[in-house]
Amino acid sequence: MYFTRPLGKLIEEFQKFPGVGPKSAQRMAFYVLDMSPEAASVLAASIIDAKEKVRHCSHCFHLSAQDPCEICSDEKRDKTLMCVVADARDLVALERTREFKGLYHVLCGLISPLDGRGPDKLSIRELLSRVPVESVREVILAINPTVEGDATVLYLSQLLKPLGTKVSRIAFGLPVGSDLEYADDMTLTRALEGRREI
Amino acid sequence: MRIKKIHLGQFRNLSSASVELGHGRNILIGQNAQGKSNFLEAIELLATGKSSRADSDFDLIAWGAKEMHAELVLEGGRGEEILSFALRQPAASCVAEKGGQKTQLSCRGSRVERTVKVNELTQPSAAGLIGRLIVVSFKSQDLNLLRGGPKFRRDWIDSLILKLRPSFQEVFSSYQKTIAQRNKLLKTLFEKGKLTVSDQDQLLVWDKQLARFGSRIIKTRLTLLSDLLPLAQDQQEKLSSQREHLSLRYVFRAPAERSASLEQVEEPDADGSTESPLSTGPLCAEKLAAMEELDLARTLLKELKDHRFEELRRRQSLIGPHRDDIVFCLNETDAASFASQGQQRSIVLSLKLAELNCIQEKLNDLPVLLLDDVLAELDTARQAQLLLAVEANMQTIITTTHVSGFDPIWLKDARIFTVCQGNINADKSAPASHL
Repeated sequence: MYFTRPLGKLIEEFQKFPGVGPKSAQRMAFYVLDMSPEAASVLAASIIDAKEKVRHCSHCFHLSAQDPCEICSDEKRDKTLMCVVADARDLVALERTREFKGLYHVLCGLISPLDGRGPDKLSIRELLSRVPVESVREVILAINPTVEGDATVLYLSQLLKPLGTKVSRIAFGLPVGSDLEYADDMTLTRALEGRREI
Repeated sequence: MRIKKIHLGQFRNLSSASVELGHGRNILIGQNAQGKSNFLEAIELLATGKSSRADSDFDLIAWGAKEMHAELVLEGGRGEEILSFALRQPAASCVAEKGGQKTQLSCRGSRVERTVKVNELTQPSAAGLIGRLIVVSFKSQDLNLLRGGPKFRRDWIDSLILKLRPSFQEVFSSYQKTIAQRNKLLKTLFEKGKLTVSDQDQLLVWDKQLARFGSRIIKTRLTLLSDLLPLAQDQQEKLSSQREHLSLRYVFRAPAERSASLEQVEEPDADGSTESPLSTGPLCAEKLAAMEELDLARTLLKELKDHRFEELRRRQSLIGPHRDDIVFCLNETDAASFASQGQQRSIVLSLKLAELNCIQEKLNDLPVLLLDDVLAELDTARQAQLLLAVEANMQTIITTTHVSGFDPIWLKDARIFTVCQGNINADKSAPASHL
C-alpha cells in the first residue's frame, strides 16, 4: 500500500518543511492534487520565482528582490539612525509599527558557538564598515533578551563603542495591555531593572 | 502546606497507588525493596520537577509499561492545587514510520514525552512545578553532603534557593547555557590553535555573561548560607551540648595556585591559608553576606582572564559557581576529614533542621517533611531534637522497616500505611502491632 511515485515524492518534499509531519504532508499533497492545473502552476512558479529573485540586500542584508532594497533606497528614511536586528522577520515586525524611520541592518543570526555560529558567520564586519561611512548617529540594537542575544549585544557593543556612535538597546518589559499578575517572573525582574523615572 | 492525596500509576514498582495522607505524621512501614522510597521520590518529583535518583525519565516508568503518571492534590496558601507529571514513550509504530535512522528511540536513555500540568494547565517545562509544593527531605544518602563530592553540596544549596525563589530557575538555566556555549567555544578555539583578536573578543563576551550570571548565583548562595548558618550553629550546639561550633567556608575552586581575593578571618593561623589556598577562611554569617555581587563579578572576570590558557588547554570553563564548594568545619577543622561518623550525622541533621527553620521563616508556611529510613538510625537524643523542630502540625512522611526504635511520641496520632510489593494500604490496626 504505497502512494504512486509522483505523489509519494510530493509528500516527502512537503515533509521536509519545518513543523510538518507525515500527516500534514499527506494533507498538503492531496490538496495540491485537488487544485486546478493553473493554480498548481502558480504555486510552482512562485516557489521558483521567490528562490530566484529574493536576495540579501548588499547594504543591510534584508531579503529583497531589488538591490539595494526598498528601505535602503528610500530617500525619505533617516540615514543617521540604524536599527540592528537578528533576522529579516524581526525587521518586518518592527516595520509593521511604522514608528521607526531609520535604516536597518540584519545580522542573519546570533552568536552561538554550540550551533557553530561565530561572529564571522554574521554580517558584523559589514555593519562595522557601514557605521562610519554612513555617519550613523545612533545604533539601536533590537535583539532578543536570550543568552545568545545578550552575548551578541555584548560583542557588538565592544566593537561599536570605539567608533564613537551612540549605542542603545531596546527596553524589555511588560507587553502593552497585559496583566502584571500573569507576567512571568523573569519578565517582571527585567522590567523592574529597566524601570524609568516619571 | 499539605499534601491531601497522591495518585501514582506505573511509577517504578508502584503500579497503582492512591493514598490519602493525614495532616500530621504519616508512617509507611514495609520491608526493603517494596516501594517506600519510590513513593517519596514521586513526591519530590512533583515538588521539584526532577527526580533525585533517576538518571533518565525512562527509569521512572515501571518495567514493561509504556507510560507513567504521578499526581497530587496540594492544600496550601493558594488554595487547592493539582500537580501532575506524566511520561509517555512514543509508540513503536510511530517511530518506525520516521525511517531507519530513528529506530533506537525506544531504547533506554531515549527521550520520553513529558506532560507537566498544574491545575490541568499544561506547563511548558517541568520547571513549572517548582515553588508550589515545598519539601524538605532527609535520607541516609544525605551524609553525602559532607562526605560526597562538591556537587552534592552545590545541588543542596541550589535546590534550597529554588524552594525559596522559584524564579531563580531562569538564572540557573541561563548560566548553564552560557557554560555550554563557552565550553564549545573553548573547544573550537583550541582545535583552531591560534587566537585572533576577534576570538579574544568573543571569549570576552562569554566571560562577561559567565560573570554576570555566575556572580548572581554566588551572591545568592552566600546570602542564603549566611541566613542558614546561625540556625545550623544553634542546632549543632544543642546537639553537642554547646561543645561543637559549626562554621563553613565557601571555596572558590580555581585551577591554579592562587585563591579568589577574599580575606581570611582574623585568626592568624586559620587553616584556610596553609592547607587550602583556594578557599576563604572559615566565614561567619556577616562576612558571607558582605560580599557584593559587583565585586564577585569583577573577581570572576579577573580569574577568567588569568586562567585563559589553562581553560583553553582543558577546553572547559574552570571558574564559576559550577566549580565551587562549601566546606563545613567543626571547631574550625574540616568536618569531612576530621569529624567522627556521629558528628557528621549531627551536622547533616543540623543543616536539615536549619533548612526547615529557614523555609518556615521565609515562606511563612510549613514545608512537607520527608524522612526516608533515617529515623530509626538516630539515637533518642537526636530524635528528640528533630521532634522539637518538627511542629505537630507539619505534615511529615516517614518510611521505615520497623518502628521499634522510634520514640513513642512519633507514633501518637500518626497515620500508618503498609507498603508491600508496590501496594500501599492504610493500616487501620493500632501501630503497636508492628512493634
